[in-house]
Amino acid sequence: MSQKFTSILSRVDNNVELILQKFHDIVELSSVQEKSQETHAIEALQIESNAATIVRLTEELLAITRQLKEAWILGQVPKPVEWQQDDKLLQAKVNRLLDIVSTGKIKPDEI
Amino acid sequence: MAVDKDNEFLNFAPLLDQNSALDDANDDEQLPLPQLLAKIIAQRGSFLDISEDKLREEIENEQLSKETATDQDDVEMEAELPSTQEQLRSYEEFTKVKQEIINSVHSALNESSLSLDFVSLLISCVRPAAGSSSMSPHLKQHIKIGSLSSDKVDPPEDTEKLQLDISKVGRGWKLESLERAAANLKSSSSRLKDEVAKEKNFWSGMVEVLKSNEVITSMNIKNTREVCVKYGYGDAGSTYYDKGIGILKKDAITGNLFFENSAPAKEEKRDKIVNVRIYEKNGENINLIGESNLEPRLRTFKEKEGVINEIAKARYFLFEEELFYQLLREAATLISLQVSAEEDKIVIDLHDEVIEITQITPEKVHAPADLPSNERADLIQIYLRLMLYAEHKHNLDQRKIPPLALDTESQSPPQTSFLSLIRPIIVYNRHERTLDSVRDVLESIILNLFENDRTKTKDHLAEHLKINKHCSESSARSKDPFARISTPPASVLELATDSLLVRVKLTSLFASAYSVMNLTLENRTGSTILDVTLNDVRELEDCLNWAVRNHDSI
Repeated sequence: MSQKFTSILSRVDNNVELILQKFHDIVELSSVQEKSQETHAIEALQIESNAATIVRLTEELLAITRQLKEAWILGQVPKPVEWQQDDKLLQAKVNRLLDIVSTGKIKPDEI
Repeated sequence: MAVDKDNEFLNFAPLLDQNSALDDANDDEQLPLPQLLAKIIAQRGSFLDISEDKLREEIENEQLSKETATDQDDVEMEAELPSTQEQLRSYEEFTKVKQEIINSVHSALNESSLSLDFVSLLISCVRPAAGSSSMSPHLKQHIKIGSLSSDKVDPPEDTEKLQLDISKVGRGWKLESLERAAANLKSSSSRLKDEVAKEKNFWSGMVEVLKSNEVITSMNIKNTREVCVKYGYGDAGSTYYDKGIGILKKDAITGNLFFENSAPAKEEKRDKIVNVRIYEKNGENINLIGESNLEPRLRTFKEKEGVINEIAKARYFLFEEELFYQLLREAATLISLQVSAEEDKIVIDLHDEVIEITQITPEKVHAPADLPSNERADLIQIYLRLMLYAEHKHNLDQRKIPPLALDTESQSPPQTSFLSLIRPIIVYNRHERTLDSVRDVLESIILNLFENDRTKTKDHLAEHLKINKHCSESSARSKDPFARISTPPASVLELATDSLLVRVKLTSLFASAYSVMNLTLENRTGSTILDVTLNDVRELEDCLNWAVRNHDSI
């Protein structure tokens, strides 16, 4: 279990780092220095692909939160219902019920 | 091309082999006139500038310089004379040098012919005829004419301006892609924001479900892992096919939590609820005397909303469904006990009254008319539900029993569920009726004994008739609230008269619901004078009458 969570943590770290890296790349690629036309064309595409990667990484982060929530929910155990009643009383009640139900002689008010 | 070299040489070889020491004068004289003229023009310029005087002067100068030159030569000759012998090259050396020169000329020729071929090939692209005429046969054979082309390329004249243009284009492209990237990020962010809101909705619903103490679990349904809620009675001992497992799903638009039954619904299932009616048999007529009131049960579901209520509702109706299913199943085995089962109706005939159990849709539920036995009908439906719970509990207890080893000798017969829902009502009802008739028999005997004095009889019965009901059960020790219901009824009637103690033991069986009567007569001294087992109340009456009359003689 702990291995699973360390992997999740490392994924979060990796994704955040990658997002920053990609953003940094975009800024770096936006410079128009003495570059050839071909380089410009490639870099323009790289900017868009980096933006798409950022979106994908963010979606992954959302998926991780979902995974964590699910793991938490499934780890919860419902509280057992504490319910105590006198067995004798219960027995008497059930027996009385049986009498009424089967014969109908005893008035229900007596319960 | 290396092979070509030698071929080319052969063409020129005779020329080269001739004595190469052709002097200038001879050369000029051998030239045809037009070429000679051209040469003169090239050397001297136009004939306009050439005059006889000038030429004479030139010749004289030439001869003068020649004379001085020969003088110098003579001086040199004289100086060199002493070492002539050593310095004169040998013939071998001479031929060697000659060979070197020839080689150089050959390579020059080769180079030039290669260049010619190259240029011819280049020209052949534009003018094939002109080009092919000067091409070497070898080239013609191997390379297609016109296969080499050329074009004029202007060197970029203004690199700075060009760079500016490129950077302008690049700037435009980058601006465009930055804009697109920004738009993408923006739309994605708003989309993700919505998604997060939906997630929040979903999980808060989930927490709500968790807080209401539902069991949330994950299951593999159709090979996908789903988060499910177990709202049914599958874990509580129910053997019904529908275990009541709902898949918790997220609404695509609002993200709200909703749940869906995981069991494949064969047909459109309708929520139904079990209703109980009691009819009174009055000769041929059947009158409704009681109906259970289901309204308060449903009211709670109508008031509330939300997924928890939905789950509670699903649980409730699942239970109702199972209840009716189990009732029908049991009713089918109870035909011998005057129980008839139809598709959605079970009729239990209890001699003087009829209990009718039906399944109705919630829409049809209405408050019953004010009838005398409404409360009893209500109690009957409560009883039925309680019995189903008891059945579940019994199943659960059965599951907890560790399995028997297979090799044990005494293999117990498979445990069949002895709990039943309707049967106890009928058995106890009949038992009670039999008890009443036995009581009537005893009363009639006492009445006979006291010669129809009713008040006396009543007093005597009140004093001496002891009815001990439920004497077979172990309920005194058992803590199970259903101890009595799960055991067949048995009662003992004891009546003391002046000379006799009459004891009638009534034992009913669950299977047949008929009562067996065990009549015991004891005299004053306590010794048993009669012990007989009878099956019918009439037999009992006859026997008792006979015994009371003749007990002295027994």
